[in-house]
Amino acid sequence: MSELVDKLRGEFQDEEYRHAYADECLNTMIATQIKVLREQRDMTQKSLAMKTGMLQPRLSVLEDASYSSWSISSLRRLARAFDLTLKVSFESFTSFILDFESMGRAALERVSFTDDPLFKSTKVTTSHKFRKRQPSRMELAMCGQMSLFSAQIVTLPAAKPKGIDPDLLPSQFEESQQREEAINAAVVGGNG
Amino acid sequence: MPKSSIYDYIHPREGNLMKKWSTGLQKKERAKLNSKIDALSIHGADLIPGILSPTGVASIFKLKVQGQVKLRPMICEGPGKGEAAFTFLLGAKEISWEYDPPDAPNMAAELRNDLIAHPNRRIEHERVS
Repeated sequence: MSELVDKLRGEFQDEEYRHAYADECLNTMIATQIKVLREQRDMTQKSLAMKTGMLQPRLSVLEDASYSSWSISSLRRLARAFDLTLKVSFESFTSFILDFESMGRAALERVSFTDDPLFKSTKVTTSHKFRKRQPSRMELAMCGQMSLFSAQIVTLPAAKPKGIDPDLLPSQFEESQQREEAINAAVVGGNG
Repeated sequence: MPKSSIYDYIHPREGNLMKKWSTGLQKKERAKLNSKIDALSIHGADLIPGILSPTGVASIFKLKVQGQVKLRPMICEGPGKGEAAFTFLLGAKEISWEYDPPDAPNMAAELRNDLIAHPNRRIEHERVS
């Protein structure tokens, strides 16, 4: 069991006490994460202020664990400047306190969109999208002057309308080539 | 696992000044104060921005707790060299930019000197909830 939760078990029986305690933890956590995210990006308060359209003294106030007048709109501006999204959620006291207790620099850092592994390689994502999508009847028809009727009954690997992208990785290039060949074969078959 | 140990200075005649002061606070104020003390103990002053502020007197800081009443207990690092610890010296508030008691930082500095001279005049922080 968490040392802190254990300590708070008795104190939190009082409603006024637990809400005041948690509110203060929240202030501490938000201010700390703003500072950690700024430092993670090697930004100064001044440069972050410029990016958010705030003044540096205002940012200095937001980076103070005693500040309590948070607004969603300011936090959204900061999220935008960090290229992150803002998440607001209601929590049980236990999960909140566990988050507070485990709040270290590493736990507070977040990767910006451009470094987000899921979105990092747009080319792979695009290629994936092409693979999933079936070519439209019109695309197939235009590709090899195929009749619309033939296109209806032929299923193909995804088509890439403008030939092979020279920037593709070798494995993607091979895949793309195979796709082109499959399209050509289908077109020939469709015409025949 | 706490990053820093928290202690209270024990005055030779008046006992634990921090505990006495905390006992006189409203419940909500004590909750906020304890939250900040836990943050300091678990995460340290380096991670939490603005949790401690200088007072203008060397080695004396104030733990900042905002609210209708601004709590500013006086605290010092250590004071043992290299120890990961903080010691509360006395309780104080800030009202209209003035300390209550008025000379809190200098009083705290004297208590710190006394603690350096008598290192056993402190105990583990006594929490008032």
